[in-house]
Amino acid sequence: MRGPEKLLLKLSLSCLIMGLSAMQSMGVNNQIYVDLGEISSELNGKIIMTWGYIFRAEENYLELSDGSSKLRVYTEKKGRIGDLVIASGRVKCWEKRCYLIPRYEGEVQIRNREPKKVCGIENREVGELVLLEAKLISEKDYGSFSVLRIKTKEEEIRVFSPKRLELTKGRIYSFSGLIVIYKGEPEIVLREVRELG
Amino acid sequence: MADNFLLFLLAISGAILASITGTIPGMHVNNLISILIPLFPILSRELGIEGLAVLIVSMAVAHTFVNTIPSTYLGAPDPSTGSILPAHRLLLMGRGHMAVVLTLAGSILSLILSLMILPMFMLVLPILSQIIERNTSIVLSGILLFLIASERSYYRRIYAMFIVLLSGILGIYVLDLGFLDQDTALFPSFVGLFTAPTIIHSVLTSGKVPRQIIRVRTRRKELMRGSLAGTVAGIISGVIPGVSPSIAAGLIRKSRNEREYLVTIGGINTAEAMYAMVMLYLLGATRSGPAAALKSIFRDFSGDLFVVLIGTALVSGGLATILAMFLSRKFSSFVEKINYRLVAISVLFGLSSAIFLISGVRGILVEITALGIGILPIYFGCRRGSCMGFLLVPIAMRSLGLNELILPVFN
Repeated sequence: MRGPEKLLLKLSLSCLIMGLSAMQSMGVNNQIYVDLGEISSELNGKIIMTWGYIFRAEENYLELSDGSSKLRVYTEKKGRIGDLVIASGRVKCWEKRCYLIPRYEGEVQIRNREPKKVCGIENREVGELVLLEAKLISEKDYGSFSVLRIKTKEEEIRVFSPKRLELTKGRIYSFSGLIVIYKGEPEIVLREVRELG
Repeated sequence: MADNFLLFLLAISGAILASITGTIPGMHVNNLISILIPLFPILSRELGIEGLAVLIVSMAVAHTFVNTIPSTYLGAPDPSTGSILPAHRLLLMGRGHMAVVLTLAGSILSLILSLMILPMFMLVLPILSQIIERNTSIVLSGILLFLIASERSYYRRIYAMFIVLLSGILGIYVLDLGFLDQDTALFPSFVGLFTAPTIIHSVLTSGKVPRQIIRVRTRRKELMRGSLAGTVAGIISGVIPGVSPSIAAGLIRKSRNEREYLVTIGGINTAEAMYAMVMLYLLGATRSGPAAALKSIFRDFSGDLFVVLIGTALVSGGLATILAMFLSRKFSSFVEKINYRLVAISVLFGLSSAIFLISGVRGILVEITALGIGILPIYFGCRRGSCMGFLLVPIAMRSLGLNELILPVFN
């Protein structure tokens, strides 16, 4: 091998070495796993992976919660309150709030969960998806959302409903939802409500 | 998530895979990507999204290097490149390997040159792109006029105008009036316009392929001039919508000889593939099949990923050059033993079967019509880039707002 072929061989090897060093120096293996509660502006611009339960499901984003912290993930994927979400993407922080922007839809994985039937939420874990039968004691309407107080055989529970509801006081309903901590107290974020009987 | 070693392995695998698919006559990188698209969900899950991107870029770049082998030895050019007649002429003189090496030299030099130009280009591209986008109709009409006016004689200019017009009408039917499905419309059209006429012409005119000589002669000046011209033309093709490598080749100054021309052709394809990626990173614009595939899987095209993809292109280009030189030596050793006419006709039959499978009878109709137009430049002796009226006329018409006026006439 001589002349132009030798030159080509030299150029090819130089390209291989240059390419390898470029790939090595700018590796994309910088995705780090972070718990949802640890996401702060220090991670701005970083690619992370985290998980949480759907706390709020809107048209172009899902709000995740690990029980106490929240994170908005921009995605068009649909899920229901309480479903488990494993999401990766780039953290974007703006005015002390951080969001997760997945680089492609496949970075958001939603695992559907079915609620577990329980009698009360005392001693239950944050993040559990529960189903309970209870009597509606009161409903306070806040415009876009409402806060209910319900009573099971065992205890009185606060329920946060992302939508306005028109339920009848004193009636028994089945409530399903996600257990979260709000102001130090456990409460349920309502997924579904059905009238019994 | 893929780690760096896996990414490097994927870059190498992509180059090896494309070295196999690149030797299939008439296989364009867009066909390769369209075969891969159904596998994207599985591949992105298994390799990570960066891994998939590396695989796509590696295959796209390596393909531009290796496709010179079927072009030269089997007379079946990559449809977007158009003319391979100089390479084929060298094959008939027993210099097929030299033709491949010169094209590869153009590709690898152009890969390096386009990276050297990149920082400067990144500064001017946003402004340049805005100017082009605002004046698309003027730019494309100018290119069409230039293609016609740059023909060597008065008669050839008239012939070229006639070919632009015919191919433009075909483009309107196929692209604007939806005679074929948009995703598969280009394959039968380009095979008919470029690949099939070359094959038929070479079958009718070729003698026996002689024993090949493995010796390459060229001057450094030819390599430098050819690769520079190829890089500039490739950038033009990557940046301006609707300008294919064969049009870009027609726009730059005429090469002094066949050797320089082959270096230029090699450079154009590679620079175009590189700058299609640059356009995607800087402006989110898709100027090629691989760029469209990358855009479909990525919403966030970060700077570090771009550098990784540049690295991938270098690795892939380097490896593809070595592989293509090896393959070319192998082809050279037995090409004179094969029945060239039989191979060429089989290639044409294979391509037509693929068109029939993908686009049905309509695809075959478009192929035959395009063949009728594509054979004209060979017999009139004018540039085959005139056939790119197929893309340029519909795009220019759209940007001039003439669609509503003209389409009902054809409809």
